[in-house]
Amino acid sequence: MNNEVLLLFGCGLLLMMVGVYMLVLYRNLIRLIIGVEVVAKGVTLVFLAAGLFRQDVAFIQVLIVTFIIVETVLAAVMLALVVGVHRIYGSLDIRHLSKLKG
Amino acid sequence: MESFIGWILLVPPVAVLLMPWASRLGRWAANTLAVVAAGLPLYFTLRLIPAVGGGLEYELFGARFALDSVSLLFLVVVNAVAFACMIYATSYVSHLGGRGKFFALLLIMVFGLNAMLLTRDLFSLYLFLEVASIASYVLVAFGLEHDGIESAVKYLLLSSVATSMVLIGIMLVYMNAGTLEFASLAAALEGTGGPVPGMLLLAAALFIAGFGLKAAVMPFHAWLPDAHPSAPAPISAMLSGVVIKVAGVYALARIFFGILPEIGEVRTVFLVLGTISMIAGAVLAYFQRDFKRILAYSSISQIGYILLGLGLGNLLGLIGALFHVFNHALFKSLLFLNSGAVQYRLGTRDIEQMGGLENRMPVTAATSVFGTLSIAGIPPFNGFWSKLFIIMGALAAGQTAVATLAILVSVFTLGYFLIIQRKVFFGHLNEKWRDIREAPAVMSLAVILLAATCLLTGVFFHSVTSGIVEPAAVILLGGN
Amino acid sequence: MLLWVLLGLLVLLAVGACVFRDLLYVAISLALASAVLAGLLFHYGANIAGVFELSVCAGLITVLFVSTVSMTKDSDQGKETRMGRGFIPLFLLVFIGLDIFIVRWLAGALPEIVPGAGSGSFQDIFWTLRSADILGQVVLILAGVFGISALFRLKAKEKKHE
Repeated sequence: MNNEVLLLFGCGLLLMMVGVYMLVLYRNLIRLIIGVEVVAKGVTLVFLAAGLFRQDVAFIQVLIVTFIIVETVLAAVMLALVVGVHRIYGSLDIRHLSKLKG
Repeated sequence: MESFIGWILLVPPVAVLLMPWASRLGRWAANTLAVVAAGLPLYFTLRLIPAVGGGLEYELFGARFALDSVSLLFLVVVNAVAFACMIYATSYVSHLGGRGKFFALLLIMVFGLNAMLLTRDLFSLYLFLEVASIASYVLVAFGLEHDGIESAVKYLLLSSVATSMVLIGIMLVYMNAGTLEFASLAAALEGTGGPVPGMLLLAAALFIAGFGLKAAVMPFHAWLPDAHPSAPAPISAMLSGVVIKVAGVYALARIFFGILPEIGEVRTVFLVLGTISMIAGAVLAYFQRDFKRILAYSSISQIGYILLGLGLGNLLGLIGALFHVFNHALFKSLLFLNSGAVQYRLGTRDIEQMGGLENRMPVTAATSVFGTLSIAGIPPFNGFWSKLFIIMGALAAGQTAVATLAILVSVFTLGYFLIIQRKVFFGHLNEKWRDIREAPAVMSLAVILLAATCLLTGVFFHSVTSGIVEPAAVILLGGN
Repeated sequence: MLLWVLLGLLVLLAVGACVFRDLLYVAISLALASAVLAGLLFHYGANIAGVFELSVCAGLITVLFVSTVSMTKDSDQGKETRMGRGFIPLFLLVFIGLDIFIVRWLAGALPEIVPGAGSGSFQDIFWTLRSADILGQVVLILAGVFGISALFRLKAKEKKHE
C-alpha cells in the first residue's frame, strides 16, 4: 500500500515541477495558465496519495471536489484577465508587460 | 452573544446577493447597502470584545466556527479598515464604473478574511484564503488600465504557486495527524515527543514560503510593489492594511504558535526574514518616485517589524507585533487613501510633479502628517508604542543588534516620509495644480476617521493593549 | 500494472502540454491528462471526485481554454525562448532524479499509522463534517461570477470614452 502512496505522491510532485518549470520559463500567458493547471493536477494527486495513506479516500475526495471548484473559478478569472491583456496590448507575451519593475 | 459570529459571517454575502438589485435602484441604494454591510460586522465585532473571554464557539448551519482573542484582534482590524475603505469607495468608485460589482467584490473579500479568522480547520483556512484572493485579483485589475491588469496577472501567478505549496504542507500535516481540525491537530502532533518528524519540518518550510509570499516577506515580495500601487486606492488600503496581515501573518502565527509543535529554527527564520524585510523595504522605498510605490515598499518594511516581533517569541515581542498589526493597518490604509485622494484630483502618482498641495487639499495634507508621524513612531501616535514594545522585546531577548537596527530603520522611515510630505504637500505650489480642490467630502470623512483612530489609539494605547492585544499575545504564547 | 500505465500516461500528457507548439493541442493534452487523473480517482474509489474531474476539469476548463485561444488568436503570441521547449528532456531527467530523491526520503519518514474507522460516506462528510466548506464554495462561485462580469465590463467603459 505504501508503495502506491509513494508512487502517487512522487508523480504529483513531478507534475508540480513540470508546471512550475512552465511558469518560470514560458512567456505566453495562456501557456502560463496551463502551467498553473498542471500544478493543480499534481496537487490533486498528492491529495489522493494522502487520503490513501490515511485509508480515508471518502474524506479526501470531498477535499478534492472543493479543490476542483477552486481551480475552475481560478482558471475562469485568469482567462478573463488574459482576454483583458489581449484587448489592451494585442499581445500575450509576458515580456511586453514590462511597464512595471520589481 | 455567540450568534454575532454568525452575523459577521452572513451579512456580507447576503449583501452581495442583494447588490445587483440595489445598484439597479440607484447609486444611493448601492452605497447604503455597501456601507451598512461593511458597518454591521464592525458593530458586531466591537460588541464581542467584552464577551470573548476564553473563547466562543458557534455553529452556523452545522459548520463550526470559533472565536478567541487572536481572531478578535484581527477581526477588529479587518472590519474597521474595511468600513473606512467602503465609505471612501462610495465616492472614489465613481470614476471607475461598475459600482455594484466593486462593492460586491470588496464585500466578498471582507467575508473571506473574516471567515479565515473564524474557521478552525486548516483546509477551510485555505479555501477562505482563496475566496479573499480571487476577489482581490479582480479588484487589483478593476480599473482595467494596463498596469492594474498586468500586476493582477503577476500577483495571481505567484499566489497560485504559494497556495500550492501551502496545500502540500497541509497534506503532509494530514498524513501525520489524520485530521485537519486545529484542536485535534495540536493534540495529535504534540504527543510525538523527541525530535520533530522530518515531514513536519518540510511542511513548516512550505508554510513559511507559501504564507510568507502572501505576507510579502522579503525574498517573496516581488508581487507587492506592483499589485498594491496599481490597484484602486481603497483596494490598496485593504491589501496593504489588512490582506497581507490576515493571509500572511495571521496564518503563520496560528500555525506556528498553535498547531505545529515548537520548532526552534522557525523563530530564527522569522527573525532573519523580518530583519531583512524591515531594512530592505525601507531602503527600496527611499529610491521610489511613485507615491503609492513608496507606501508599498514601506509595507514590506513594516511587515518586517511584525515578523521580527513574532520571531522574538517573548511576551513583549508578541504584544509589539500584534499591536503593530493593528496600528499599521490604520496608518497605512490612511496613507494609501490619501495618496488615492491626491491621485484622484491630480491624475498622477509622481511625487516630483507635486508640491504645495497643503493649501489646496488641507484635510489630506493634515491627515497625511498624522499618518507620517504614526508610521515613523513619533509619540504620542500609535506607531511609537508598538515599535517600542518590539524594541523592548528584542532587548529582553538579548537581540541588541536587532533592536538597534529597528531603531535605525524607524529613523530612516521618518526621513523618507518627510521627503514625501515636503515634495507633495509643502513647498511651492506647482502652477499646474492652481485649480485643484480638496477631495470629495465623503473621502475626507473616511481619512479623518482613520487619522482620529491613529491618534486615539496612541493616546489611550494602554487600554487597547490590555483590552485586546495582550490577551491575544498570551494565547499565542500559551499555545506552545 | 494499471497504476503504472495511468501514471506514465499522465506524466506524458502533462509534458505534452509543455511541448506542443499549437495552443489547441496543448489544451487537448491538458484535457486528456485530466481524464487520466479522473481514471486514477475512479481506480481508488473516489468516484464523485472522478466525475467532477472529468466533467469540470476535462470538460468545462477545456472549453474555457479553447474559447480563450480562439478569442486571442489575432494576438502576438510571443515566441518562446530556446530554454522553454529545447531543454525539456534535460530538465525532466533532473526533475525525475530530484523526485526519486524526495520520495526515497519520504519513504523513510512516513509515520506508522493505525487505520481509523474512516470518516463515513460522501454525503456525511460533505454535508456534515465539512459544511463550512460549502459556505466557502458558494461565496467562491459568487466571487467568480462578479469578478468575470467586472472584468468584461471593459467594452461599455471604452464606448463612453469615445
